[in-house]
Amino acid sequence: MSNIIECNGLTKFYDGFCALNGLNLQIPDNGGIVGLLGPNGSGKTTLIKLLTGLLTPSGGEAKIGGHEIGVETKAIVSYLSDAHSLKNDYTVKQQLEYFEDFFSDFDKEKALQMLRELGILETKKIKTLSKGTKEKLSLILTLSRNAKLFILDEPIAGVDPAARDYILQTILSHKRENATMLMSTHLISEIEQYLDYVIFLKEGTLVLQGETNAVREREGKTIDELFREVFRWI
Amino acid sequence: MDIMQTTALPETDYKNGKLRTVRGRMLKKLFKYEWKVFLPALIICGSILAGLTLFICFFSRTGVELLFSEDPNAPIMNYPATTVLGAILTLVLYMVTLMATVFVPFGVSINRYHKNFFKEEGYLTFSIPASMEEQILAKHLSGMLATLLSMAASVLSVLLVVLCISVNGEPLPPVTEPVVNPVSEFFLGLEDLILGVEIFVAIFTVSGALTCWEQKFMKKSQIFLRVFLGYIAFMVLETIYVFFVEFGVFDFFYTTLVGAHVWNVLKILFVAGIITFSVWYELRVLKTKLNLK
Repeated sequence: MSNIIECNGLTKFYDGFCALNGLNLQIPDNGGIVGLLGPNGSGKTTLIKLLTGLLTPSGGEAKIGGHEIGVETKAIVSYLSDAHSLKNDYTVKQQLEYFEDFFSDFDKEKALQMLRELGILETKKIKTLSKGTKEKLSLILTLSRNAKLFILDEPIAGVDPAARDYILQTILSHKRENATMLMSTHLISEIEQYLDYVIFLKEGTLVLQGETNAVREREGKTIDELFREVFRWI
Repeated sequence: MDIMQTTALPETDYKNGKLRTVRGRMLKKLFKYEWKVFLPALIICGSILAGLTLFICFFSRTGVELLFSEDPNAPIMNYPATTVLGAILTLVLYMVTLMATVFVPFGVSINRYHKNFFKEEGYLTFSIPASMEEQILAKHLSGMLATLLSMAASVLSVLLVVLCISVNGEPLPPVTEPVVNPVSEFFLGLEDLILGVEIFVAIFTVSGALTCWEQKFMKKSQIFLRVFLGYIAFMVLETIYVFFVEFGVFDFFYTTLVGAHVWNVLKILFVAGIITFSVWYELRVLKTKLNLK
């Protein structure tokens, strides 16, 4: 089976601080949900930004589908950032048109359907939406692409439990069968049951990776228990 | 199997000789979104300018002529205050609009460069399957074209006003002197053109400076950054120079033909140098040093 993501000696320094330290990683292209797990500051967001081309590596290389990060990989990756990146002066409709223009795999009907379910009006300006609604809109736009790889950076962090349930259900119900989904989080217990593959990052290095069931059997613990053990406060 | 072969996306359709078409389409889309912002700004400024130009030509002509009058027999005090005040207000408004028309595209261009590339919108900007070259090209070409359009509108408006009003009952002297030597006229005329083009230099200098500022990776060993800062310093000197010109310090360049030619060549090199360096520098930073935080 080919790998959807490959990192070889991937390194990133920020002003002398090492955020990723020679990361070697292969994620198989099996259409599953991959949990990128680690506490705050472990390098999850840095890895994601390197994969989406928002950061340039200090060393090593990252590939998606066998291609170096660039125009080709951006065409097949749908990315949900941890920041609000939508255009505030646009209406929801204009933002949909923007996605339709720039991403040829964008399914506008699917997006409209999801917007209707949530009761978000197309005519509303994005800057008038609440923070939670903006996050949901970002999620809708990300999931409405027929991408090969979905990368979601902390999609359930900082939201109330009800919104968290909605986000998780939306992700699961709209996930494409043959697309891989890489999701970073530190809220393991919420998503453990949905993960097919897990990656543990600690201080910029890979601590553990493997299929969820295999890891559970091997370690004799749930992923949440394992996470607490690996990252316990010393 | 190569994932790109299974996606069938136009952006990845490189291997069938369609690269140019695909990139051309992307560039068009980027231009479209640039002009969605530039066009309303230009239309608003242009409409106000056109309105004021017509107002001066048809309704406020007498008052404006009066302000420029040097006739001792027709002192301004003899006219109703409303006429004089109206003319002053109209002229002030006209000048402000004129400046806004020229500088709004500049402001929009710089604002978009900063917001789209280095603020939170950058996450979206750099997620779309467009190359850095396309992103920069779309931004700068749109900015330059909008600036050119706004300058053309401003020049047209000033010409109309100048043609409409007369001073002391006489029309204003012709804008250009009779052509004596076409070659020297061409070079001296070029001087005016280059002054207009300097606003491009300002766009590139500010966008380059913003790139430098946002990256914050300056080190003593980085020769290129020092060179870039040199350009900034040069722009400051350039501004000081403009003031000196006003006091006739550089009369040599304006009073001799050789001086004018030398000055024009220097100007052309200056403009081309800054634009080339700035684009190269921005591309280098965005392609190899992008650090969106």
